[in-house]
Amino acid sequence: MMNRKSPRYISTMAMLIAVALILAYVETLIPALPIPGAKIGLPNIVALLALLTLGFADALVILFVRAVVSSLLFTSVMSLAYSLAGGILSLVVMFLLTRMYKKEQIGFSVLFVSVMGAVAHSTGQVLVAMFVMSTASLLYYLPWLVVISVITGLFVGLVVYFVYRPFQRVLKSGAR
Amino acid sequence: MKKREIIIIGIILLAAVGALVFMRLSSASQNQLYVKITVDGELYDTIPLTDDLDTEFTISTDLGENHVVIKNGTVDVDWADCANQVCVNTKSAEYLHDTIVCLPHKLIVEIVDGE
Repeated sequence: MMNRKSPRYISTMAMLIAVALILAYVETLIPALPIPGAKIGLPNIVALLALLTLGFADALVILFVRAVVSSLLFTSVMSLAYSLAGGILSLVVMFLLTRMYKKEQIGFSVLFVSVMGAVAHSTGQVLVAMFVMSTASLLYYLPWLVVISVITGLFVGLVVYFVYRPFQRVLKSGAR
Repeated sequence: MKKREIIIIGIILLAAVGALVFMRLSSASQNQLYVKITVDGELYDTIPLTDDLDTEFTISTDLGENHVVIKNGTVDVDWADCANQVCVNTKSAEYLHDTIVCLPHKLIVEIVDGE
């Protein structure tokens, strides 16, 4: 755990938030997936990476700042509720799952964590949408989103699998 | 990834695909289908969906406008003044439980059977 007042900690957080924002922006440029409203979830790469290297609290801070800023910049404020509900539920699920592993040895299991996080993300968003629109019929939408979540979750997990160790090294290099 | 983890993902996928298949099979019922339009949780209109119905109209609310086209037994939202255009990009609804949603306008266009 880094000292929260150290420039190193502050710049690491700033960098991760910036990367998450860029990924959120890139995602708005990618044409829609076959399932309307579904996204790849590129910012989840940062969320999962932060969760593994910095811990739950810092990952939550990054998620919150990213969601607020990206909803102001790229989408509507309305979408913030969906984004946060999905993101927080996803982060909690991934946090609980990562506790089952020794983090250094998580290996390919990171794909499993990522998939479960993606499924939780979709489920959270559908639940909020059902609440906002006060209807249960959106539930019919969930199976489609779950199928696409498994695919996008595998992709995000694969990226994190390859980035995790190099990123860990960068974090540790020169750390006091 | 451990075997157990692959199995869990497999079960989730199977459940989702199973639900989709079940939805499509149950839509094969002979009941008359209706187009049900809901705005902000309140019923806006219910229209019997028949193959020879050919109509289009604009749903206009405080939140915005969506243009709905019904023809050949399908329903489509082909224009809307919302930001994300998700409802426009959604393919037209045809079978029972097919749903077109516009979250910014709190609009739901769904296909229901005769109840």
